[in-house]
Amino acid sequence: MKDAADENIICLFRENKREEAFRLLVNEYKERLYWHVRKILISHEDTDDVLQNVFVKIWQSLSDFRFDSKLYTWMYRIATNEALNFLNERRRKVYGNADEISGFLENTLESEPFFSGDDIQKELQKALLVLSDRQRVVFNMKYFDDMSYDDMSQILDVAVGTLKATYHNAVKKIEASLKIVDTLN
Amino acid sequence: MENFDDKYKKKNPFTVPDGYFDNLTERLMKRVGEEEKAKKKSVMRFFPPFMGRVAVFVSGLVIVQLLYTVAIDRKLLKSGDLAEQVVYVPESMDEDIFDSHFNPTNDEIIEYLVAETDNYEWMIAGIY
Repeated sequence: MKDAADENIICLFRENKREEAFRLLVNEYKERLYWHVRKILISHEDTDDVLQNVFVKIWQSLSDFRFDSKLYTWMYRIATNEALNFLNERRRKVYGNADEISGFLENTLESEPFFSGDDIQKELQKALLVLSDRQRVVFNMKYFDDMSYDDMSQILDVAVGTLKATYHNAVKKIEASLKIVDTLN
Repeated sequence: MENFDDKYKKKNPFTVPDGYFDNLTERLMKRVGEEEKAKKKSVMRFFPPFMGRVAVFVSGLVIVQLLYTVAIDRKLLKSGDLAEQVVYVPESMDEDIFDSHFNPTNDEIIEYLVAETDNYEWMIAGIY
């Protein structure tokens, strides 16, 4: 099922009004995609860079997009891949190892000027960094964005059962991590 | 999970610079426009810069050649020369160049060849 904005974008695109269609698409999705990427990358500056690349890719691939599937799941997939690739690349450059999980993002969180959360929220964000990138993406989409497992399955190309298990494990890990913090406090 | 929600709430702790989303559309449109230009330029980079001039020169030559041919044909048609050339059949064509009654023997052929050719040529041909 597509919403009215998507229908409008698709109509304009089919009428060969590419630029008008793209402008509408940007206005419709810029904030949603920004926050999706921001939760993965933490840093506003990095998110801004990646978001620009995401929209360039969307623009370049829009003619290949089969309009029988949801526009927003397709765009979320591009955004997720771009953000995760950016993280891996950055880790490889800084640490020489793409598997390094939390150190890089913890430093980013500590030095991020555009974070207005209180100590408790910072605690949760740090606990999220215990998770693998994939687990964190699944947790963010489910917990913060209230996304359905079906949509998540299309975006991440993972079976619904696997996503449910991943989310469950992520919550357990976060709870355990926060308990340790509580004990230390 | 409920306690978890109560404590942490689903509140977004991240912020953006003032007016960030207001300018974002224009910045993205500009960036996409720049990428399009860069893409076109990179396609053009496959061709060396002088290729354009060479293409213009060759096209010019072809056009001049075509115009020249057309002009000559028109001139010939006007003067009637071309028409004459087309219908002109040389008189010799009317003659029967193959005489069906002429049927020389082998000796006659050798005699003719000996008369027409000097000994040195025969030696080279390995006949003598």
